[in-house]
Amino acid sequence: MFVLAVQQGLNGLVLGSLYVLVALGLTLVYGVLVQINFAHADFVMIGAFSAYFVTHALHGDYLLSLAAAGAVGALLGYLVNAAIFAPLLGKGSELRPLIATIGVSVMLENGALALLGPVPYAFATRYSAEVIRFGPLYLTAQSVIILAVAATAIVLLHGFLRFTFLGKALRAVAQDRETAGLMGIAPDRLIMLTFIIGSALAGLGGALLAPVLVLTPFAGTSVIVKAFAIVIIGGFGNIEGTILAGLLVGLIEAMTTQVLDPGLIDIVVFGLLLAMLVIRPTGLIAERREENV
Amino acid sequence: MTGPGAAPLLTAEDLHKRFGGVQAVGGLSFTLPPATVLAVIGPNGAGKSTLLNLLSGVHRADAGRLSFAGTELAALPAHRRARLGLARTFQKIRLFRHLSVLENVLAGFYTQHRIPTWQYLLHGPAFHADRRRCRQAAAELLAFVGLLARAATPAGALAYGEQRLLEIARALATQPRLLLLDEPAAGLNGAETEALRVRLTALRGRGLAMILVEHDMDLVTRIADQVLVMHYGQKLFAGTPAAMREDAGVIAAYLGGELA
Amino acid sequence: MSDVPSPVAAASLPAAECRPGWPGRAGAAATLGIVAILPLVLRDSYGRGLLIAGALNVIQALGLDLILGFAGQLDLGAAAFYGIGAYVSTLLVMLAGVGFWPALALGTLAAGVMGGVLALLTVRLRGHYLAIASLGFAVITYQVLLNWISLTQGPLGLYGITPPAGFTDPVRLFYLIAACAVLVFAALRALLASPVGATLAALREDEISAASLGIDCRRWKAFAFAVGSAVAGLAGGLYPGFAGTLVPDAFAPADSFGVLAMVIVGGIGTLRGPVLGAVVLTLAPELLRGIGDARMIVYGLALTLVVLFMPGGLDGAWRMAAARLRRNQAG
Repeated sequence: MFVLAVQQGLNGLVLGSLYVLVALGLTLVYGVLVQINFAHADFVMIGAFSAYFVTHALHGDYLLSLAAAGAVGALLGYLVNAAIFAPLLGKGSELRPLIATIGVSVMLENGALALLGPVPYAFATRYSAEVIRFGPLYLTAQSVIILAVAATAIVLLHGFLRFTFLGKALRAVAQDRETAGLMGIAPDRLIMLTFIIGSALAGLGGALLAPVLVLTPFAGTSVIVKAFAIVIIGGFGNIEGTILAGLLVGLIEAMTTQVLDPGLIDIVVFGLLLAMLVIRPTGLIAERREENV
Repeated sequence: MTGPGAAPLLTAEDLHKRFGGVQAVGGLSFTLPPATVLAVIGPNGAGKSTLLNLLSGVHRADAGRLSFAGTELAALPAHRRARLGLARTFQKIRLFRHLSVLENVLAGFYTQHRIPTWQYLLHGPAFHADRRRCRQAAAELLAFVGLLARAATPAGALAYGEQRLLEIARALATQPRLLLLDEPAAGLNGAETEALRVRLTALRGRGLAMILVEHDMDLVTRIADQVLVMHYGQKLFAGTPAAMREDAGVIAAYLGGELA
Repeated sequence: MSDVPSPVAAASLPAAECRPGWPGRAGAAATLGIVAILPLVLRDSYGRGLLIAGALNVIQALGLDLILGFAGQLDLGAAAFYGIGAYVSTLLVMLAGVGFWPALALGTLAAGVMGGVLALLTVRLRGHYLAIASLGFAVITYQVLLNWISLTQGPLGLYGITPPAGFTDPVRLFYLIAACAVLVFAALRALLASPVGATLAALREDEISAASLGIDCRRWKAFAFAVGSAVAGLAGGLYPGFAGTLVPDAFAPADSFGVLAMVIVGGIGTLRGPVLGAVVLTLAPELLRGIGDARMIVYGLALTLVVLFMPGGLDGAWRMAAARLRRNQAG
């Protein structure tokens, strides 16, 4: 019983770190732009398909396909920011970019549907079958890769934000757009950089998820809906909170998956989300700001 | 002017408000007699805007008591305070920018509509009478601030000085007993400040109580009956403008350079 | 303020837009005329089905626009309230033996109450949080419909649902639903021309300012959500009789985006806009049927392009063109 619990905890950690990767992209963008990119979901899906085609059609290695998926995500992020967020920046509407990216999302999903069809793609890497045992516990090599890549990405991101000049400027923009201007960095470039990083994470997350996803053109939606919940539970724009919340949701899902239908897990996660919004709208790690008007 | 024996319109006792590590208002007490204009002055960061936000309910005080015309305010949300007769303008202008000048003022009549509920769906005589009454009153307010000819203009398209005046007209539409003005002359040129002063003098003449946060000392001395000088969230001085100019503490801390 | 009446003052105000002038009335009469004739022109069952779907979409788009366009609240959960109206009214008829009309009223009421409760729960949230919370509510509602099998039959759905007595003929059913759409339009029009319109506009523009005028933003957000969601619930209650079956997939969370597209493409924050958007987006994919499955791509593209380049939507473009025409005639 105890071993089972630990095993589920381990599985939850793997799942959670995938959610963290996807959610971090959302929260990074929200931090600097206070906008939501709804098409983020589809960057995840396209990242997953990129990995699929690199490994299955081009016979590339799975690890190589991860890099490709990240690059595709970065490119998509660049395009969406250049086409939508940058032109609408400073127009003072929180509604317009969100709705425009909902349009992009509908386009990408149905474009993928037209190209790839509705039948799920089976994606197995040679790492999925390889099992690594630790006493009574086991992980697939795929899970080990997920944990390693996610941890590396998180550590790199953290180091970037904390120790590099660009990273510090980025955090400054997140705090206050005017101050960042004073640091001599054009905010629009930082926003673009954030978009590229966040979207690369989405593509990477998609590639890591690909073997466990039901890989269809709508695969991103099921992930992103949880990512939204995670971002809110963690506090929008709050990186530490997002990591914590992502792992938490992964754990909850792994623990309940034994007893609950997957659809009911959505209810649990969103019930948690709604409860969170009502009780603590600022997220797990409170960062309460009051300003004079 | 009402004598000193009259019950005060507003009483603040030992107000505290802290933002993060900063004590914005720390133990402030004062009273405002009816039909009095109180100017609140002090250097930037002295807690003046915070005080107005505590009075109008944008923020809740951490501690302290606040009573307005016999009603305890501290626990009331902003909209309930507005219904009691507290109206305000904002330091950073907060008009409904995409609505017309007229619509801005009409929104200020929110608490004064007298329409039977069913007539919201089937407009009857009471509905039309209410509309006529509010539009008439709005036209008078717009005439008062000199914006009647701009009634159809979007508020965001007005000149800065006009926006300040429109905010005052919108606040007056709520039929306030006390008007809170947060730096109404900030950013105005000489002519605009004069236009503002004429309106404020007229309101004072009608016996409307006002609390005025302002840096323009000329405006303050010409309008205010009482002055409250704030310094680091506390009361440095309270009294008449004339007495303030004699007060050694005020001169040392704040006025010295300006009135010399 | 001054007690001296100044009749000059009120006379110089712009005219109150309370009653439409003759072009507005002529337009309304012409629209009603076209609606009345349509089912007689489109005689095949496919065309009539399309008409009914269009009328249902008009009702849904009007409800969402009240929340989104007039009250400025980012609601991404429209499909949930449509579904609540549909399931509550149908289950009342099938399981409790309630008559169609009271069931329709109760379904509408249930959707309205749920909308109001959701708004009250999320009342402190800024725009984006509300968007996600309402989307989350749609996900929960959809999953409940799928998983509460003892009540809803889950993905298998409920079968053999008939239209209300007297409306089994598709033409009559269309007239019924179109009449509901016209009633909703008229009611919202009257409501928004009243001080409620100004109050919601104030809420949408700036909550702090609105509160300083005595407006209880909580209450009015809940009001807009309740009324808009009730309208969606009404459409939901009218839908199963038309479809004959009721499955959760008709209320998938992503379906909210279709209604959203209608509001945005038609013209957000106006009443004509959602009607226009619903009609165009119901018909356009049919006209483009040559492109088959790609129709949703066109939907997405239209949504994005309109937001980027035509923020007023079709209605805004129409107004601008009319204004230009008038200027050209005058000059």
